[in-house]
Amino acid sequence: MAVDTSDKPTGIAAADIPAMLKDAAISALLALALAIPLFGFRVSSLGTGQGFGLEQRWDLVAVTVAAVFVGRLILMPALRAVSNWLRERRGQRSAEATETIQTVLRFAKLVLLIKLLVAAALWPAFPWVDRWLLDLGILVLTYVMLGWGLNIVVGLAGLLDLGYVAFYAVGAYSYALLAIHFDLGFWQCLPLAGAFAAFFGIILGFPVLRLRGDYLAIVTLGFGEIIRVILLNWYEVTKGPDGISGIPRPTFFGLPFKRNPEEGVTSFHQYFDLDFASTHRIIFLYYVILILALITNFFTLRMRKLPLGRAWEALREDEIACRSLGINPRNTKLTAFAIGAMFAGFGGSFFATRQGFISPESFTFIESAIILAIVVLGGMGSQLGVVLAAIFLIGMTEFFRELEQFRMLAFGAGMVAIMVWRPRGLLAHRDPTIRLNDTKRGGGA
Amino acid sequence: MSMTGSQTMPAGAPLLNVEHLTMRFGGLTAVNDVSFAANHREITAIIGPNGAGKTTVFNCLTGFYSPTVGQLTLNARNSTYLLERMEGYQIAQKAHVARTFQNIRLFPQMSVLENLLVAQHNKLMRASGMSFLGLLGFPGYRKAESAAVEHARYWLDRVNLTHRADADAGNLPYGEQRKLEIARAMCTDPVLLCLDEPAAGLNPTESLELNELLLFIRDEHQIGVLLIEHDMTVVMEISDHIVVLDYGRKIADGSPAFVRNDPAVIRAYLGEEEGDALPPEVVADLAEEKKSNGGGATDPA
Repeated sequence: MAVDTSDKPTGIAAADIPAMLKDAAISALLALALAIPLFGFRVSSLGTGQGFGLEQRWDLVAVTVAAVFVGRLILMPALRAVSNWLRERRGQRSAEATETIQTVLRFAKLVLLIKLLVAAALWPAFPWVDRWLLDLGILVLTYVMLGWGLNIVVGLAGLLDLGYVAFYAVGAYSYALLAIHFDLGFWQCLPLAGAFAAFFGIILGFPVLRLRGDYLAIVTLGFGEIIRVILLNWYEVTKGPDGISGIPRPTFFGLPFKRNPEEGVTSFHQYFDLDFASTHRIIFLYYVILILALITNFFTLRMRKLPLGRAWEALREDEIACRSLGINPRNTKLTAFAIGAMFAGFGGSFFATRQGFISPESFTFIESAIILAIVVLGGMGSQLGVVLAAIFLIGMTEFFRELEQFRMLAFGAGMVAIMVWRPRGLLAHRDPTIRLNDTKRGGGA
Repeated sequence: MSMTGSQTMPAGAPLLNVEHLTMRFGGLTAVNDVSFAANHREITAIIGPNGAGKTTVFNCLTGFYSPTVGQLTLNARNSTYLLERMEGYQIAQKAHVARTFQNIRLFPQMSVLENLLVAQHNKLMRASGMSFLGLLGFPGYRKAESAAVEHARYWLDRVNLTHRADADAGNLPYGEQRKLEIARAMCTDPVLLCLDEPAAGLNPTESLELNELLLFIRDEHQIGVLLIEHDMTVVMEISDHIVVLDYGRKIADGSPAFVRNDPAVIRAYLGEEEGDALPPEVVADLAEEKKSNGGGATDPA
């Protein structure tokens, strides 16, 4: 690449230079327009008790504009060289070459997958992973799981659901209420919470699934808000805005993670003869969500190869054609909706047990929006894409905490960058679920 | 049950009986009291000028519209179905009526093979125990799936698309998409195949291949084919029986030779000789009148 950039400018015809100057000047003008409001002025303190003054920083603006001008001038030939090189490469590609590239890409994807899996499995064991990174891992995995769940509804079945967080809330409250009132453990509540969420999915889905696209999105958005408002106002059951606290923590096959367990109860560290450490519980929670997420993923991958999964994708592609082939569109959509809701329910009960406290505050529309953003940015229907997008979106906002008020700006910029760079999502490529002419790969991958 | 048009038909058992089919959209009567029959092992063509109501008839047959008036009876595999009382997807699922669309409706981002497997959805759904057994990896489903793949391969071979089986359906050229849509419809194992302008946009070679394919479907698979088509080389070549519609009414019904020489049909397609000199409104009125006369004469129902 370095060779390309260094020898191309010499090869540029003189006729190109005015065009390049013009292009650079336009960029510089844009930079000027942006730079003046962004850092042309600065409010500075004139000393205690003397108020504030407006400091003008024209030098900084001038430097920026000059830097953009020069930078653009240098960058242009380099970019052109790269794009020429790419175009030549593309021209040379024969059918076989495309096949090779496909194979290489598939292999690269597999390697990335294995790396991610190993990293995820060993995450708590890495020496640099402290409590904060462990919590971050749990958070990212929660969103990965929710993303995978929503991917069934949005990515596979093509039903735009803006109220996904409602099912997450149903799962969380189901667990909290069942655990507190009926004294059930996390593992008994988990399937119940999933079933409740799926039930709500069916209740919502039944009347609205004849709607399509934007209309469905609006109704699901409304449903998400209804659930939140009910949680907020049904004080006798949900304690309204006070939330529910004292939600039981999960136990390791009956062994609680407590420093001083009650009489007659052996705690985790006593049973395994370890020193008590509060991270034990966090590590356990980490593996719980990892396993839950992997179950979600495994389920979706299996489902895609089954007739129901193919029918979901077919419905996304063309509902009328589906009807002409004898597929019942309502039932098929309902299953997608219910299964997606079920995984949100699992995620919700995990959230409740991890936090120990839930309130309607945690289930606002922005959560639905983030989960949907993860699915869309990852590339609709792509499982690996969801992981990458979750790491990117959740990880990035956490890492940029130091930027303080600019954090959400960075978040937005990141989303815009992905959409400009990969308009169809990070990993938009869809592999067929079954192949005819390639029996080796038949059922696998 | 009236056997409309049977006097001009070659022998063949009635598969579909359309009686007094009327479809109104508000004040517009798109199909007006049309009756005809389509037989087993025959290709029945529905022809007529643009806006004659051909596609509306199809949409009533396949459950996309529910007819205002009329009875649609399908007799196949020892059962009788009243199509006008069934929901759209059930007509394909239970009565085994398959159709294609005027503007092709494939699943463009799914592979060719997947398109054909989606067509076998109900069969595979049962084999996978409504997904539960399939999810657990029971061998019954795997067997059913490979049988379904073989069924798909059979039809891919028929339409010469085996080498494109793993390509995205949306990336196929137009003519191959048309053939794939027919193959997909055949994968549902139908008793009646309804094709809405299958030759539209095909070049002469492709049209010829289409003729062969339709004759093959009729002769080897012994099912009834219902065909809407503008391409007269296709229609006259392969149809056993032609129904002509104009302005929502049936104006002729019979063998290709009979229909070709029917004065009402010639009028509908070519207009009156003296009509050229008259203003268009008058021509339309005249045609309407002639048609209702002509329709009454050839329509025994």
